[in-house]
Amino acid sequence: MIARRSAWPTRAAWFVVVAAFVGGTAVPLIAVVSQARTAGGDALIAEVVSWRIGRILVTSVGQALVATALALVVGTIAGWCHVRLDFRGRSLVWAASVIPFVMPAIVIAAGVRSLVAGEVSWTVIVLTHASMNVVVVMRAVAARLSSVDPSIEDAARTLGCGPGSAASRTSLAASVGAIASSGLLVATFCLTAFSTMLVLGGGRKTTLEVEIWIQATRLFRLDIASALAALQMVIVLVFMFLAAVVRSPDAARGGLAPADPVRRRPRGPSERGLVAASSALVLLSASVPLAALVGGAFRSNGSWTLDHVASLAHSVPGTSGVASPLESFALSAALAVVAAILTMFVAVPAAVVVARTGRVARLADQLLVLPLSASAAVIGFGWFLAYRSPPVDLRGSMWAVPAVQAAVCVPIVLRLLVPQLRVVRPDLSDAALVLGAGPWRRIRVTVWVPLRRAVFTGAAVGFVLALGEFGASAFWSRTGTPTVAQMIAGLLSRPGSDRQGTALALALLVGVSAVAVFTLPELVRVWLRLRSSRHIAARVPAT
Amino acid sequence: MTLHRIRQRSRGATGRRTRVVPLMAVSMLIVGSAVGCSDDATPRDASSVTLVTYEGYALPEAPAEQFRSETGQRIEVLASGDGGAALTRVLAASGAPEGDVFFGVDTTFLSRAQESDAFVEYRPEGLQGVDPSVLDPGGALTPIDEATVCVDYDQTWFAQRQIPPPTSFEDLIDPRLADLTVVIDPAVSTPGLAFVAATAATFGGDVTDYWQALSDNGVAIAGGWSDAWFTRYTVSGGDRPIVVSYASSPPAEVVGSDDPTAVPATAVVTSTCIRQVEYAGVLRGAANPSGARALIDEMLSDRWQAALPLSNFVLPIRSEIELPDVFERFAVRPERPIVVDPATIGRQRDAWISAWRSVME
Repeated sequence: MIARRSAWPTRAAWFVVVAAFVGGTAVPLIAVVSQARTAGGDALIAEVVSWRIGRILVTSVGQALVATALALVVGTIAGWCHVRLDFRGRSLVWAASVIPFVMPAIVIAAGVRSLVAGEVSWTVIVLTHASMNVVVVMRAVAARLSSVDPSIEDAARTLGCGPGSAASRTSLAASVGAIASSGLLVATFCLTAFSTMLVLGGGRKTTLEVEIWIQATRLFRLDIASALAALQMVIVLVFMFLAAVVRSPDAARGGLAPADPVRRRPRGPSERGLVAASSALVLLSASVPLAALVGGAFRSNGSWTLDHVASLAHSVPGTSGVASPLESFALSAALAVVAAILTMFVAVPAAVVVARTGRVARLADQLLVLPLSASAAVIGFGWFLAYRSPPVDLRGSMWAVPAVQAAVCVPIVLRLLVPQLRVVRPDLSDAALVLGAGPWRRIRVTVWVPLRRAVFTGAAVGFVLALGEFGASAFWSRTGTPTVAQMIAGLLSRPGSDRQGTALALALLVGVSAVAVFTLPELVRVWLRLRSSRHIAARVPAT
Repeated sequence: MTLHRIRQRSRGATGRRTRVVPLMAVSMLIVGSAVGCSDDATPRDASSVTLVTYEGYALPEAPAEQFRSETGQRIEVLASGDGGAALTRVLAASGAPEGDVFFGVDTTFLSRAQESDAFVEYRPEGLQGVDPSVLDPGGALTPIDEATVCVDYDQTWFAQRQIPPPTSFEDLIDPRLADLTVVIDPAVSTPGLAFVAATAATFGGDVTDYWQALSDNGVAIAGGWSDAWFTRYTVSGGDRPIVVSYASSPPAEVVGSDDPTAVPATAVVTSTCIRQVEYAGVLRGAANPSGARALIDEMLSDRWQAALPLSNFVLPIRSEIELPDVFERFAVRPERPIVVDPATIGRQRDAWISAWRSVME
């Protein structure tokens, strides 16, 4: 070390991270636990004795496990097919697989709701959850398999294994850790799904996540709600802990893959069948809800019409003083921009802190994942318990919704930023210091340049997450200014084809915005590349 | 290169670079504005009073206009959700309300409102002619109107099929009337909870068996009164001829139809009627408390009370107010409606709702 480097940017980053963690996660979760301990205990025991909560617990975990099993089967097969085989439409399936996952859940839920008349069965709910999360398994398996030597499968075939067991006993056996940890992640997502359960459950079917919301905001039983929230936290933490544990060193097995694996054509009817089936399922899960939305938003009584789109500009009949659907969309978009800015404000310093090596950084990594673990409803409810009385009373404030959404988005965006920083050489900052760079220049070199693209993607992800966010902001609803997710769910919960049509048109608007925002970083990247290539062309003198 | 020059010039006398505003100050600013900020969509100034209520509430036009010309204050209505949902939102926002007056606390939820600190005490003058048993002892809530919740049925539907219509709660669990009834979710709907309270008062400890029998007999559950009435009820084109609604639904039907000689298709099962009183209260922390008090006084005035039957199809709480002709002819006034003490409802409400949800899911 040559000179004492100025520590204040690092200290500022730590301050932001600690303040965000304490204010955004620790205080709310402590509020939930303390409320549960003081008031919830007796109430929970009384409810458990009436065995209703036990039944809700069983259905919540049960549907999560069944959906996970489905996602695991389809995702593993699809991931294997993507890495090992070459078939027409492979890139399309890969790209389409991510759609049900990044699309806001309320949009998918609205699409599925419009397909089913009357009550939605548990089968449909489980299928929806599985289709939304299959990409998690698919990408985890594909990432793992791409580092496994494909020739071990051929070796197994040579030694007499059939086509199915050759793959499963070699490559997939070497990927058990990836499969298991992605499966636990999917189970967590299915367990904490809020939008789908609220919209598809129709009030008759509930899981723990939705029950917390019903008890807190519909029945105003904060004691039961806090007990349920504490229970949910425990279950989710168990899942996340197991996921971290099973991510065991797979690397020891499987051998090293060649740098550029060659894919082969599917051999035999069974392989072709697997490819067709898994690709069809992935494509269907990507397209069916959105196609249903388009169909429902533009049709009324069997004929094509723009009435539903026109109804977006008018207040919902029967309500008074409440924003129209279009106004609520505009408001949600504005709040989502604020939420995205807040998210990046916390996530960038957090990424700097977490990307370092060392025990403290690993601890920070675990803690900042916590909101993801605690589920959106628990976070929203925790904020509601913690921040509704002086000194911090956010109830009248427009900051409540973007702030609580940022608390939910930060861990996800963090996962995008950290890998970019981990590849930066640690002595880069020292080299810059030697060359005379001040603290801002050093930050620019070590933080901004590697993160530049990820920041745009992260901001886009944060915006889309906040736009469609429901679980946390559902505890902060204001009568006159509902968020777009609250408006869609409210419209869908009242029978009447007009309201359904308006809800679907609004959901379609949200879906289209999400797609537009996600393609924006790609366009920016293409534009930057064009601009830099033009500069190079300008500097090289013509010879 | 320009950036470098700017940074060179910013060096102070000691040669050290002037510090840019630290991140800490910026984050303090944001936190501070979050705490202090209080935006709301509804205009809250002295020239308007905001009335928070449930969806489907009809403001009596003429009295509201006269109120405005006399006091200079416009009545803004903020209405969304059913009665129970609107009340829980008010309770959650206690101290930082979205409006000045809340209307829609009824007998079944009265104790919930009384136990909270969302309302401030106000005892208006105009309560003569009001049955003292409905008055709120704490003074936080003022009775405004009376609605009787009953099981209604479509008498023309039953007459066409020559099926004897229901005459009591027991008839609803009779297999010959299977799949014909729609009730309302008591967790969020005031008439829904009133129906539950009425069954509990009738069957006592065996009421959960009655609910189970209802469920086995194919009862449908609507999310709110307007869903039940306008979507599920046969008079509106639905498939269920028996619906939980009000004793004032027959005259409401006549008023809503275009034919002046119409006779209502809806009849009332009088043995299932339970009396409901609706209350209004001034919200604690309201922006316009004086306007709120003036509005409650106005709601007890002759002109407002007289306009209630034809706007919201409820009876005025002041018994000496004259009713319109259509009400005199078609409104059903049950001789002995079920009356459940609000304190009893308050004690049992959560247990009832929990047991109901267990049975019905």
